Order: sequence, then structure tokens, then C-alpha cells
Amino acid sequence: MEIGLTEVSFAYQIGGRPLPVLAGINLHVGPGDFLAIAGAGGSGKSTLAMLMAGLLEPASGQVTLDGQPVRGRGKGKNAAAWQKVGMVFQQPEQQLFAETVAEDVAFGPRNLGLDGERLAARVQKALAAVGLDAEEYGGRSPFTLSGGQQRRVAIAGVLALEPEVLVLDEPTAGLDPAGREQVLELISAFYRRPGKAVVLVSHNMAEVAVLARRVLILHQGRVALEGSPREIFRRGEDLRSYGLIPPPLTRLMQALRRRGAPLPPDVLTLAEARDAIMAWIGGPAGGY
Amino acid sequence: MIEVQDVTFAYPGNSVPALAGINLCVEPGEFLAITGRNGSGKSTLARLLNGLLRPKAGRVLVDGLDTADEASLVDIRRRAGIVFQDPDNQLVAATVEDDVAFGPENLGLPPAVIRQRVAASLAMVEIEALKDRPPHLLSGGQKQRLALAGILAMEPQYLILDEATAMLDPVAREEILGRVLELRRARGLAVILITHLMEEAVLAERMLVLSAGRVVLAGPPPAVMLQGERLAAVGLKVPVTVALGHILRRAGLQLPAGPVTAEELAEALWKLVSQK
Repeated sequence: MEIGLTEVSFAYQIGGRPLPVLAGINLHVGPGDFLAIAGAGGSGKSTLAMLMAGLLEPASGQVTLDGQPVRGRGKGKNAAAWQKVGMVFQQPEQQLFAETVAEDVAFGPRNLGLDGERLAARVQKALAAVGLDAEEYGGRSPFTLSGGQQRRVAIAGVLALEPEVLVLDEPTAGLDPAGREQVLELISAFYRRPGKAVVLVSHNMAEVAVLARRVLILHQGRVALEGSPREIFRRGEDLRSYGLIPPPLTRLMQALRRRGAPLPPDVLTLAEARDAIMAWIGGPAGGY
Repeated sequence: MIEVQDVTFAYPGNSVPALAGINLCVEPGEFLAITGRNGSGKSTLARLLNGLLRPKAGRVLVDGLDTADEASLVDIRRRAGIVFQDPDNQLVAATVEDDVAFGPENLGLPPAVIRQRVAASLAMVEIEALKDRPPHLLSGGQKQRLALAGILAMEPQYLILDEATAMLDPVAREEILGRVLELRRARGLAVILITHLMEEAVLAERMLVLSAGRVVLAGPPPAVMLQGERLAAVGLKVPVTVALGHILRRAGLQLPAGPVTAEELAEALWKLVSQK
């Protein structure tokens, strides 16, 4: 499934007056893509995610699925196409409602007409994909689970629809480090399957650095920067004008470069940072 | 001073206490971080500090007022204000401005004072431009700014931030925390920051690590950061810059254990190189 946006703009109506949110957006996401969308609060990230998932319709411009112009979800005749795009909202656990974990996850696929064995298998598979054992958790009330587990149940509810593109809005916000890692791991596992694509809205640059193939930075509703994580983070402190702070290791390298150290500007992982620093300190003049 | 004395707390219908045997003193003007994984009891402790929850055993005293004493609660909540992660439950009025005025109006302050406090609080969190907007049309981050403005307008002595900036972008989070810490310097406001972002917790003077309802580590952040394994055992991680420091020491660098932030580690590494 390929999502395309051409010259898309969007505005909310407040008191009868338009409040512009996005303008002139052009982008494409297809199989194998991992696109991160970042930017300051109010830059239009969540709105863009909802447009890409068909939950909003543009004020002008065009949204296409596999090249076909489409209207929003539930409008026009493109229900089957939108089914392939799954959306995980901010704090999705707030929308858990069923008495058991299994019932909550079953809600979407049941609406698609699945029942009996096929439905049970779909639920089990979705729970396994988020690291929850259906035997152990399926019969429990979602409200007895930890915040991180609740969030994973909510994501399982989207995965149970077997999307090809997964759009996630700040999926790790408010989770503790362990919960955060579990959610990032399940996103990676989804992405590793053939033909899948991920769109991740996040202002956690450390997360974006290790996961995304491509980063798009929004500023006041327009695309301000686009590139690989390395290309983006090389800009260092310039990112602050977009509400973003480079990941800590990039910041460390930049602080040392400012002092005159010959280090690369775009280090992303611990191993890269260690090797760069050891090569610098333990280099030709080194005695360590 | 907020004194937590031998406090135990359990939610109704739950036999396992959410907190057990907690002792803690928060001094006026202190900057304390409380951290721990989801479910460790951090938010429960936050709610006990200003009497939103009452201990099952033990006492919580806010400037000598006991939170078990119903008659003191209004006074206690004026002194100790709390801002939550999910601000929707905290927003009450039809416009941003009215929402911030709600608390001071309930204190029975003169209208001129209320207007001045509302204006100052909106300016502090930089949402003056949104003052006529309905709160439900704000973004998650804007709602968090609004909830903070509402508490600041009460001019508390103790400000409890329970993951209160989780929805803000990193620069905004740094700015808002910076503003709060300026207030701390100017007015002696005590700040109690509840977070699982280690990068944020290490900015405090003192940190407290909770696990399964008990305090498992406490002390100045550089000392707590030396306990990487114990932190990992309770589901937390040292900041990546601290982890890099460990790795470099293991690789043979004579690097001191103190540096916590990227800037501090850069300084320590630069010193090491200059000494060669």
C-alpha cells in the first residue's frame, strides 16, 4: 500500500474562522518505508498523521492510495483500501473499553466480519505481536494492567486489522523506559515483515535516530527539512528552532567538536560513539 | 516543609499496598525528582503530598497541616499544587483565561489581583495568545501548559509536576522546566518533579527511586547514577551519556564517574585530552 499526498493543506475552523494547520504538503510512503514526522508542538504533526490515515480530509490537495485519489475513511467507496492503513492515536489506552483484553482486541476484526476460530486466531496473533500471551492476558480486564501493557493492548487492537501501513502518534509518550522499549520493539518487528511501512510521529530524537529511515520535520504546517536521520541530526543546534533537541550522543559529539575535537557530527549509537572517542583519544598521540 | 511519615497506602479492593513505609521530607525551595517505572507508586505518592489521597497508615504534614484533617485541605492545596500528565481532567472552564482564573476566584481574591495573576501565569507558560480559545481545542502540549498556568495562578509553595510535560516537544519541555526553576530561585518555590525521563530527573538536587511502592534508592543524581545495575533491576535506565561514560571507563579511559549530561561528559573528556 502506498500513501501519497499532493499539495495538501488543512485548516481547523474556530469560531467560523479558519486556523491554518498544514500547507503545501507533498509526500509518499510505500512498502519498506519508515518515516518519522517530528516538529514543535502545534507544527501539525498529529494532523498530518490523521490525514495520512484518512481520518481527516484535506481542505485542498489530494490524498491517494496506490495512486488512486481517495476521500477520507468512511466516505466514498474506499473502505477496503483504508483498512490497510492502521492508526494508533496518542495515549490509545484511554480508548480501551471492553471487559477483557481479548474482547477489546477482537472489536475491530469482528467489525470486518471475522468470527469463531478465525477471529480467535487473529486476536491471539495480534497479542503475540505486542508481546502479550493470549492465554495469560486474554481473559483479564484491561484496567488491571500496567500503563505500558494497556498501551500494547490498544496497539494490538490496530494490528488485529492486519494493516500494511502503521501510523503511530507519539506511541511511547508517558511510558517508562521498559515500556518504551517494548513498544519500540513491536514497531520494529512489524516493520521487519515484508511489504510493511511505518509512519512514526515522535519528538523523541533518540528513538527517531535508531528507527527511522527518513525524517520529515514540520515547522508551522510546512515541511522544513527532510532527509535521513544522519542528515537531519548533523544540523545540531539548528534543530532547536523546530522545537527539537538532537539525541544526547549527537549533542556530546557536537559539544566536543565545538572545543576542537576531530569527531564526526552524526554519531547515532553507543557503539559508534565509543569507537569515535577511542579513535580520537587513543589515536596517534594517544597513550591509553 | 512537607513531611511524609511512615506512610502506607492501598487502593480500595487491592490487598497489595501501592506504597509502604515511605518516609520523606521536602524542604521549602528544594528541587526533588521522584522516579520509578509505571506502577511503582510515583503518582500515588504525588497525590498523597497534597491530600488528594490520604494515607492508610502514617501521616503527611504540609507546613505542619495534617492531610487527614478535612478542615485543612483547602489550605494544604493552596500551598501544594499538582499538575498531571493528562490535563483533560483538570480543565474546567469555557476559555483558557477563565480556566486559569478558576482557582484564584475560589480563593476569594480581589478581581484586580486575580487579573494580574492570570495574566502573569499565562505569560509564564506562553499561552497569552490562546486566552480566548476553548480548552478542548488545544493540542496536548498546550493543555499541559494551561494546566500548569492554572496551578501557578494559585501561587503555591510546593509545585508537584506529575509527568506534566510529557506531551510537550523537547525544547518546550526544557523551556517550561526552566521557567519553573526560575520561579524557584525568585520565590523559593519547591519543585517536586515526577518523571521517568532520567535525563530530566538528573537535573534535580536530589532524586528518589521507587519500586513496588518502596524507596529503593535516594541521593544526589550523580551518586544514584553509579547504581546502574540496581536501576536496571527496577526497570529504569541510566541516561545514554552515563552509559557511554561506563563503557569508556571499561575501555580504559581515566574518566571520572561524575558526568551525567552530554555537556558534562564533553567537558570531562576534553579535560582528559588536555591533560595528556
